[in-house]
Amino acid sequence: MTELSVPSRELAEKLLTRLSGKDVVTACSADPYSGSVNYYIYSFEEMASFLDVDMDSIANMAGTIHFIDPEVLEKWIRNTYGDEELADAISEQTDVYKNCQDSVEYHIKQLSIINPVKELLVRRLEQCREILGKESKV
Amino acid sequence: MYGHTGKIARINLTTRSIGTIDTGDYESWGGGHGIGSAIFFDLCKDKTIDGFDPANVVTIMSSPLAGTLAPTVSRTEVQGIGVQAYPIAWYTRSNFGGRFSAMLKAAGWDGIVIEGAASSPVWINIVNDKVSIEDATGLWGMDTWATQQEIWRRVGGGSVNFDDWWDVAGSRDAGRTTQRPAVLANGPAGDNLARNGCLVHDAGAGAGQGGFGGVWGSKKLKAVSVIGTGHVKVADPKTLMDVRLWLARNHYLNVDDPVRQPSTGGVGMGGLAAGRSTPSVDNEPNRVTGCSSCGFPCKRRSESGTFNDSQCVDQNYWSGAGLSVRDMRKATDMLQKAGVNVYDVSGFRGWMNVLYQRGELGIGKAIDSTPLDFSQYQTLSFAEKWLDVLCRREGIGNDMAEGVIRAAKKWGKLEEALETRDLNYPQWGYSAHWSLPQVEWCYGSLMGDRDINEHCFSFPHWTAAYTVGLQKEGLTAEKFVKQLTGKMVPYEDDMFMLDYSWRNGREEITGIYSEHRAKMIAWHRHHTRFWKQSMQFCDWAFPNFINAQNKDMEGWTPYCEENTYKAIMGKEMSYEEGVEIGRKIWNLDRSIWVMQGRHRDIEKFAPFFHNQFFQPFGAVTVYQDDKWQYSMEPFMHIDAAKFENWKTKFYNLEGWNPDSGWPTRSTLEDLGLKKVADELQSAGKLG
Repeated sequence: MTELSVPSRELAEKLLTRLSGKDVVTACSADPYSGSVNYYIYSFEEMASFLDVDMDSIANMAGTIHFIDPEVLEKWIRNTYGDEELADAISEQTDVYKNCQDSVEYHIKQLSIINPVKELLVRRLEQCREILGKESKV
Repeated sequence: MYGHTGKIARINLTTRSIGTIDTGDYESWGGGHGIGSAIFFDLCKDKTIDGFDPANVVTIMSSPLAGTLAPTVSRTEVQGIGVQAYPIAWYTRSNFGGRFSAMLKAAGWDGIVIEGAASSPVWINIVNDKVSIEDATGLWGMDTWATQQEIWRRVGGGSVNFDDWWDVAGSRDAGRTTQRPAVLANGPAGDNLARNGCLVHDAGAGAGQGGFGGVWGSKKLKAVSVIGTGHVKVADPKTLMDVRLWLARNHYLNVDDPVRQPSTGGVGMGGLAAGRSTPSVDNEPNRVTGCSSCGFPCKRRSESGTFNDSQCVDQNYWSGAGLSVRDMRKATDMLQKAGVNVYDVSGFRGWMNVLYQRGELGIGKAIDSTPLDFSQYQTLSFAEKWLDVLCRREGIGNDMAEGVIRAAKKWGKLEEALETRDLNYPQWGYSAHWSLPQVEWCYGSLMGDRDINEHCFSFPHWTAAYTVGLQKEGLTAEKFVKQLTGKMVPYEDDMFMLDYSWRNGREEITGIYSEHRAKMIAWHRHHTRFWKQSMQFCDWAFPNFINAQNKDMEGWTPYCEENTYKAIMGKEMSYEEGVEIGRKIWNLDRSIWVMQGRHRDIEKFAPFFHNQFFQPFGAVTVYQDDKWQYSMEPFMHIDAAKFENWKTKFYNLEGWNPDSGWPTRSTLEDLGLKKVADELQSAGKLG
């Protein structure tokens, strides 16, 4: 996993702020039974908790995928929070599928980076809480 | 008579009279939904009444194949005028699994017909041939689990140990069993006429869609209990066993020696490793369970007893809202006990939270949420409180019990929410499902009465596209399409039925607005009306077009369906003949909707469905650049004008007047439905 440098106190506070209005971002869940369901995500913390893609479960038709387009996530983190380092780290992960021509292969590779991206978010959240002295809940 | 028991209980709650209907009078309809619709048509004289009207007729139908070793058919079809759909609460259906259907047959009944409304709460007690209407005063308002437990106690006379043999009617000669009564119970939501009230059997088998909980509430009907010690006559038991063994040997997942690793095929491809779709929590021990006679049990029971039998969307009641998986499961149990339809409320509570976040809903806000404090939204106690106020219609709960669409209308938010997709409910007030890109799902729902909830095509598409291993073994998109359409009689030569192209010029030639798609939708509607809702082969296993545990990837459809039917019923029924009976049933249902107010002009999707939105999941097959390929289509949406043209193609194919969408006399008479044509004509609604 990409090492993230310690964020400033100002950035940490911003990342733990609850959002409203245009800053709220849409993620979604899906499973073979229920279809796709949208969720509005109101905070960085919620996003870190929400995301989860078990690649085995996709082929097994078991469990639920919690997903966001990584490029949407990258822009959200860059533009809403101004966390350039984290956004760059996510962007780096997207390199694995950017040149895929086959739409299914593209999608599967997109799914495959969600959990590594989640780890980045969780790590960032822990850093923020360490700085601000709050206990990690994720 | 094989398969059928020969009689259907006819119970009038107003007059408290109990009679029988001869199943033979309706045998041409197959069973299940077909017979249910035919009886409804005959007994419900005014089809335009409200679902809460005492004159509404509710049928609860088994399958002629249930109560035998036929795989997956222990399902029960509930029909009648619903209270959920919007703007017109259509005549509708819901279906649940478990052991109710098999038990009904063991008691000697093919179904139950409920007419009228009681003046005080009642429950129906069926013990073999004996049917009685019992006082439910003490049960009213009780949750669905407690109701079932209390009825078990009452049927057993308070002294029966259900872990051992017991005499069901007080004497050994009257029949003995080791089984508990199978009870279909209404919850406190339905008792209070909630439009999202549902009926629950055992821990988590539920008839959710349609609002039948509310309908039962209006009839003061709390539960139906059945215990039987008889059996179903099977014409050729050996052949039935042979079919079952053929399935097991050639298509089931053998965990010790799988043809392919389980990761190369889920339930839609056959060979489900049972109980897999609900992840275990903290490695909690659990065991697999399923409906009576199922060959692919999909449920589980846990050591802690939480989340038992809840297998499908019910787990989404409070998902994505910050609860731990363990608490989500507890919330789901609360939902089952309240008897509330998850499909109406999971989107509802999420949308209410959106309104709260925007400052439009909350205690003292424009939409006053009293007594619900949405600052507690991410807690289990709030999920419980949310259900409680709905069930009791307390404060904002009075709006919530009207269902999400009617609440949105009352709050002045409906038009906006269906424009922005804040409410992802594309047709008739029913939530989206696999509506896109699996267009057969949204088209079928709009041409029908509800979210169709039929995974016939979405399961195989999901697995084939996501399972690279199968593709490497030769399951190309072309082979996939050929194999599926090859079984879609009588249209089996038309591969373009599965071309999901929606732009780039092919959409009206071979894609989703073409005549090929009209054939596909027609096949799907007809097929499921018979094989899935009348014979009641489970949606999660049938049809089996492709099977990963078969060496050649050949699915068991139609061999299994045809030979199971023949073995039990003692007569031939080809797959195509079943589809044709399904067409008759579909046209009867369509005629009832027409009487209720259906017209081409109102068969329109919610506005958001015509805007581009991002829906990343669901691979489909498309024909592009002169070849078939699997494709993700995350931006697929419906072009309103092209869809209108498609409707004309579909109506013409079905033999309906393209100006109105109403069946014509010649179509109905060709199907043997002259009396239906006559009734439509009397109503001035013949196409």
